[in-house]
Amino acid sequence: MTAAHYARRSGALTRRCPDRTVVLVGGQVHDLLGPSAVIWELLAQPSSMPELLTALRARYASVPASSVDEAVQRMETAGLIEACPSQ
Amino acid sequence: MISPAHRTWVGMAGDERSIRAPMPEGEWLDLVAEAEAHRTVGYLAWAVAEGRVATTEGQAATLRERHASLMRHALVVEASARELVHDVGADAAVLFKGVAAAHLDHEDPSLRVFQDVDAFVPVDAIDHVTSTLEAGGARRDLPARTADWDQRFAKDITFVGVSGAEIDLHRTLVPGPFGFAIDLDELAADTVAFDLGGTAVRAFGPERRVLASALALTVGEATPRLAAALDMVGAFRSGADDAEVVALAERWRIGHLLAEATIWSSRQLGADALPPVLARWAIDRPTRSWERRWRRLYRSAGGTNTVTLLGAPLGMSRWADRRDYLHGLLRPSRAYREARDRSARPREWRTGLRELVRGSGS
Repeated sequence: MTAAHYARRSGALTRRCPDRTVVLVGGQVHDLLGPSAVIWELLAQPSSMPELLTALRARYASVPASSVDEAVQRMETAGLIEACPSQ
Repeated sequence: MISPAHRTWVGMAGDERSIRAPMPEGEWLDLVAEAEAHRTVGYLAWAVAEGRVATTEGQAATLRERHASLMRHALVVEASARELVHDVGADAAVLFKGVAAAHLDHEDPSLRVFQDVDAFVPVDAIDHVTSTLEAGGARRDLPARTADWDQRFAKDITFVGVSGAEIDLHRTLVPGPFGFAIDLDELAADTVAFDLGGTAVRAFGPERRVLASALALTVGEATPRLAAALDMVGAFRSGADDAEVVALAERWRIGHLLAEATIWSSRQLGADALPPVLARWAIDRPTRSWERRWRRLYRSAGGTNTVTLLGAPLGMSRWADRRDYLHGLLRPSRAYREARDRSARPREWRTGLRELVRGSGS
């Protein structure tokens, strides 16, 4: 299963803007800035989940990787947003 | 008309692909207003982000925020479109214009700004779709004008969804005679699927998307928007066949509108924006006298909404349809009249008459 498949399963609608990624999930719109936006961009790529997690860990040593892992693997979009570094 | 600078930020300006120094605030605000009117704020935002248009940091920050705001709204609209398709089925609501163009005909969906859902609904699905929306809590703006108006004569039926997004259900693509001339069965005969947040939705095939854009550029709005021209260019980039586009347009009696939209788009975006064969055809195509008469009925050619409505029977082939249409137009149902009176809309015929008098005096 690819990361993009996870993003679709979550039901999120997204827009990549110049300085942020706008995400609508669960009826709420979130503006994701910085690393959070990058995570969503990575999610939108047709990469596999292990590749996604490797890319996240390589890019953001400060990201609590276990939280992100857990949220992504459970396909909990809101959890993933919460697990991202502060915006 | 669009300013020369506008061509720069939509990436169609040939060798002059950058604005190198920030503009004075007044000029900048004029350009942003122009982008808003033409729904090209997404193009401007990316042109600034990529350094093709120089700005002050304050100008850039304000623009980024405005673009993000428009994108938040776009996602709310998309959620409504997805819910509609989920509830009624993909074949009963074929998306076109904003949502479809953003995903199919622009390099990135964030380039295309749109305000509402536009869905074509085949005539035999109109009851199903309207009752499903009402059952889901969407609010219809006005009741049907007569018992069978929705299925026979309405251009579109407007709902406001639970999220506040406007949903326009189209029986046909434009008002007036051209809307009645379009072969709706043939219009629905070619659709393509695309993904909207995990839901497979449908849009018209590329040739029909070109024609929908051409209609929007000519008789769909009072003034043409550059976003529709970019949709048209994008649909050709997505594989629309120019010969098929022309053949469909002529069969549907909208060849004149395709030619007009092609000439306008080529002037704004450059001679190489559209297929050269199409551009040549548009210039050479003779305009028939009936096409001129029909065209003048529309606001974009000096007509008024009332004139467009009254002229619609010209596009009908059966006398019984003309009779029933005019009867419904002049004597709508009591429910329709009462709902219209309660709404903030202007009085229908009084306003229409005023427009007519004003038009004839100018």
